[in-house]
Amino acid sequence: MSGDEEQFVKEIKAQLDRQAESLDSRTLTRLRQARAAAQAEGAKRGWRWQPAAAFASVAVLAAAIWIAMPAGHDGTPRLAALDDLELLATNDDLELYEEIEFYQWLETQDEQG
Amino acid sequence: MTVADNSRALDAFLAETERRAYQMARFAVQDREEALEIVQDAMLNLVRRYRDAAPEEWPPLFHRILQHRIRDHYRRQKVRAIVRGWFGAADEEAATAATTPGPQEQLMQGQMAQRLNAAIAALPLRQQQVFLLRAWEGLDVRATAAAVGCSEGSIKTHYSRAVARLRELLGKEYEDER
Repeated sequence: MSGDEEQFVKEIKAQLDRQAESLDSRTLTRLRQARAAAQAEGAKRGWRWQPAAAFASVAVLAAAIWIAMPAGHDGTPRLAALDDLELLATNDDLELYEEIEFYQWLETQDEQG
Repeated sequence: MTVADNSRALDAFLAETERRAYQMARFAVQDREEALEIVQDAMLNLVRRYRDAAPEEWPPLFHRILQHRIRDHYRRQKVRAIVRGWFGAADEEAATAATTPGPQEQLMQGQMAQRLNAAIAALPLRQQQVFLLRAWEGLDVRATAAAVGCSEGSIKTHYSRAVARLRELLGKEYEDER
């Protein structure tokens, strides 16, 4: 790009920056509200674990289920425990944990009648 | 980074970006409410899907989402216009009301700004997106290509065409100002 073109683009950028700085208050309020709503959404899912942590948590939970699951009469683990492991390992099921807050709220509604 | 730090950093990024994002959407869709909705949607999607990404990835990710939504809206508008055309005259009044800045906005904008806005709005969508992302948002060629969904070579072509067109429309005014 030539020097003239660069200068032209710089001036356009400066003009656009000035316009962005002078947006009307109604629009700015709406943008702030949108940002707050997005962050609230993020906070709702705030205990969505980091992938590594999630895997570790799933592994601990799976191990707990495996240990808790009573063995068959000949000492072999129940096959159901393997199903649980597979279920726990899928991402779809991790989403269930994200809904726990909703279910807990639902429970309190039931208790209040 | 702790969850709280991450949240603060993401909020700071969105706060720094939201005005330009709104203007970009507004240039493309020419409707204030639609532009606000598009920006809100982009913010929500970024937080939902990419809050745990590295902070330096947020700009290209956010703009990818934003530009995708803009193109979505643009396509729907085009289809609607075609369908309206099949069934007779479009609702000209409503269309004009949506695109024309109100009196207060016009006062605030000034003549030069109005001409600039009209020139940018008149660019083909791809050129408009590329120009604003490169020249205003400061994304490099690679990030712009990812945001817009085309090759790096195409980005350079779109950009140089956009600059040439804007110079054609506005060049004299900016030269006179110097």
